[in-house]
Formats: sequence, structure tokens, C-alpha cells
Amino acid sequence: MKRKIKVRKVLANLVFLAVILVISFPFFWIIITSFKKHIAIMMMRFLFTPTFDNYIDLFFLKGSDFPKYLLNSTIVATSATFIIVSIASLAAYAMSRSEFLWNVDKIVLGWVLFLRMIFPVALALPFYKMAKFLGLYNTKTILIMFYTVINIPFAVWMLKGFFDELPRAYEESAFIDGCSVFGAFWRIALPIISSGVGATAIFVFLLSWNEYLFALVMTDTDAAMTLPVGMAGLAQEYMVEWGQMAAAATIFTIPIFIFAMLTQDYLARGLTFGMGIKG
Amino acid sequence: MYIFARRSVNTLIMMVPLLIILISLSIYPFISLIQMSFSSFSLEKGFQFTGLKNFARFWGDSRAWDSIVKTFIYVFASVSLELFIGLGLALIVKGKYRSAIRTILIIPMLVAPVAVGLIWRLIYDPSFGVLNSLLQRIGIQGGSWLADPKIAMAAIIVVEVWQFTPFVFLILLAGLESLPSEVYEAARVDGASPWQAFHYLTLPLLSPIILIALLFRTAECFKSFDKLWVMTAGGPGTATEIITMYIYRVSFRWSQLGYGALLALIMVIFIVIYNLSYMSYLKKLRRA
Repeated sequence: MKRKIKVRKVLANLVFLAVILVISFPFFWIIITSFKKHIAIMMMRFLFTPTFDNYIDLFFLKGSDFPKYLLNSTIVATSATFIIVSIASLAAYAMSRSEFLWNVDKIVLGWVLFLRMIFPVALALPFYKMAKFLGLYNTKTILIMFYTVINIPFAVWMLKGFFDELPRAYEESAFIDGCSVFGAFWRIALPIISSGVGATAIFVFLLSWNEYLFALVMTDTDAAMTLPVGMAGLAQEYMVEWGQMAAAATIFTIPIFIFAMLTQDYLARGLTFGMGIKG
Repeated sequence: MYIFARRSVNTLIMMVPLLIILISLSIYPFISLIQMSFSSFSLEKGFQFTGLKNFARFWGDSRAWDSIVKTFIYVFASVSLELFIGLGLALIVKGKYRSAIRTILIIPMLVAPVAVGLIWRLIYDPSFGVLNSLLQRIGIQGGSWLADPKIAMAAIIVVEVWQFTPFVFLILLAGLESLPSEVYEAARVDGASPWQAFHYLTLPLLSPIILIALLFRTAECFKSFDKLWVMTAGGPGTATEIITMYIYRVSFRWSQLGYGALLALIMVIFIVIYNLSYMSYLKKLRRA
């Protein structure tokens, strides 16, 4: 009996180990590939001398747009994150703390959930028309506008959850001392939930950083093109530059690795937001 | 009283930036989408009202219906595989699972779908992909996974399952570990077999969490685009063209924004009805 249980335990561990290997192998493989010379990739060599050529080409080869893409992605994702977190934390605090006339907060939360459900392409279509009309086609501005509105639902729901958990007693005493609503928000509530705000900011940043469809529709030169579009472009021309593409994918994924480690505990909450369960 | 009134005015003011953003960047565009879906678009003439012409076209557009069918196949196959594998794994590793492993498991679902698509294109490549060369070593002739119309759909489903099974697994594992252990104790004392314990205890107790995981995955899976566009762009032919790709192609490759808007509107109506009915079903379950 005891032996049977032991065998089962070993088997279970083996299965799980195999799954972990399958899950991590593609990342491992792309990193390996990024250090291979073109010829080593083509010849399918498993043994090779590592080289930094692909990275050097990406950054310094004449005509390489990669640094531009990296810069664009950083600017767009950072600005969108900043705007989203400022606006969403104000609104989430207000909705968490106040009774509204005509249930304004319920309507807003419902609309925000609706925004989360719909296909991004359904908003991309009118945005395309708007961008052409306003002369914002192929600018970082239109990307920031789009990412703000498409990702703000996430931030509002997450932050409202954090504020709801915060006991009102903290602010009541501040009100007695003559603190304004904004003061209570800025000096008391926001600092207490700051780790939640950080996690929200990271999620929103990743969502904007990873977005592909809208950037593909809205940009056509390196003036605004972001990394996902540029990276896919490396693989779509006549000859696929696998080495450079692998290097680009590796660099592109680094922030995600770091953030994944930082926000593990909030992850379940972020990924299932608004769907009726609390993290 | 005066202070209270001033306080509610102030909280309302805090909502204003969000309201401005939502009205100008989502409500207005959405109204504009509805307008667009009843019009045609050309570069010379701009938008022209055409009534129900787009709808008539949709009715007879076999490629659109075909892509809708493919969307359902893709979503159904991916999500059910994710559920079965995720549940199986969660049952296997229940109780002996280290948090260091969790970091590895959550990375796939955070990585950009574009990067995932590119990585898998490299793995699937028929002439120098690692998959075929590994298969060759054990004496199997690999195929051209993404270029063969018969297996391309299965190949992209594998990628979807690879990326999101960990998500289902983590949710179900959290659910499993929150189940009361006394119930299992009692069942064992009464002489229940492991299968009976699973069938009569685990499944019913876990079903609310399974349903939530399913809702979340289906809702997200219907929206897939990036990964698939990078891997196959709907090809070969239209073998893997799901509805989001068809909408993209109609709108931005063929510049038929009016028709694209109608297709997008129909899909939005579908997904919202689907989500809302699912959520109200969940609520009813919880109350019962």
C-alpha cells in the first residue's frame, strides 16, 4: 500500500515536471536562437558558438528601426499607464465612497464592463475614421488615446476593489480634522493601497506594451510604430531574419518576466476582473 | 449637512475626467460604429448611407459564415482542452506545489500574443524548426504544420492551449485547495473510491470555479487575433481565418470599412449577449 502511494507520487511529479518543461521550452528556445548566427539557425545546429551579432545588428546596424520601435513602445505604454492610473484612481475612489444621483456609478461600471467584453477591432474601426479625420493617423497620440480607453476598465475595476476593502474609519478621523475629500484620497487612501496601485499600473502597462492589432492598423512608419508591429515585420518580409527576430522577442519579453515576478499575488485578481469573483 | 453636500459634489468632480474619456473615446466611437455599419466607404466619396445593403451582403457572404464556424471550432476545441488538461494537472499536483513554479506558469499568459506567435512559427518551421528536427531524431517525418490546410487549425489550437492551460490550472488548483478536507475524510471512512470522491464531491464542489474559468477563457478566446495573424494570417487559403481576422481583412486590407463595421457590430452584440446570459446564470447558481 505504502509503495503504491510512493509510485503514484513519483509519477505525479514526473508528469508535472514534463508539463513545466513543455511550458518553458519555447522561451528557452527563443533565447538560445537569439545567440545563434544565421547559418547555425539554418543548419539546425544544436551545438554552436554563441554570438551577440543579432543584438548588435538590431541596435546598431544602419537602417535598423528597432531602437525607434523600442522608444515608441516605451513612450506610448508609459504615457497611457500614467493617464489611466491617475484618472482611474480618482474615479474608483469616488465610486467606492459616495452615493450618486441616478446611479451614475452603476452606469459607469456597467459601460466599463461592456468595453472590456467587446472586440478591440470594433473600437479600432471608428478610431481609424477619427484618426484620419483629425490628422492623427500614424501618431503616438492616437495610440495613447486608444490604449487609455481600452485598458481603463481594468484599472477602474481593480482599484475600486482595493478602495472597497479599505475601512472608512481611516478617513473619517481625517474629515473631523477638516480634511477635504481630495485630501483624504491623496494623503490617506491612496498611500495605504499603494501596492495595489502599483500592481494595477503594471498590468495596464503590459496590456499596452503587448497590444498589436490597433498599432498595426494605425501606424505605417517608424514615427509611431511599436515593437509588436516592428517585430512581426521582421518575420514577414521576403527573407525572415530569425536571429534578429529572436533577439527582438527576447528584449521585448524581459519586462514581462520582471513584472510577472513582481505581481504574482495580484495576478488572479487582475486576470479575472469583473467576472463575478473576488481575488 | 453643508459639509456632506460639498463632499458629494467633490466626489462627483473626481469622476469627471473618467466621464470625459468614456464619452469622447468610447461612446462617441461606438455610435459612429453603428452609423458606419449602415453605410459604405470609399476613399473618394467617404461614407455614404446605404441602409441595409451591408446586412444583405453579410447574409449571402459564405466566407463570413465560414469564419464564424471556424471561430466556434477554435474556441470550443481550445477551451475544452485547456479545461481537461488544467483540471487533470490540478488533481495530480494538489497539495505539493511550490510557489517558484508558479512564476514559470504565469509567464505564458502575460507574454504578448505576437511574441508567442512568432516563437511558435520558429518552432513549427518545416525546414529548420526545432519540432521537425526533434521528430526526425526519433524517426518521424514532420509536416509543414502551419502551411497544411488539414493540420493548420490543430497547430494553432495547440499554441492557444499551450499559452492558457496554466491559467485554467492555477484557478482550478486554488479552487481545489480551498475545498474542505473534512468531507474527503468522511468519504474515505465510508469507503468511497478515489473515482467516487472525484465524481460525487470534487466535481460538484468545484463546478462554480470551473464555470468561472470557462466563462473567462471563452470570452477572451473569441477575441483572439494577434497570435493567429502572425502565425498564419488566416491561411493557408482561409483554413484558419476566424472572424476577427476576416473583419480586419475586410476593413483594413480591402478598405471596406462599412461592411467591416457591420461584421464587428454583429460580433459585439453576440459576445455581449453571451457574456450577460452566462453571468446571470452564474448569479442564479450562487443564489440557489
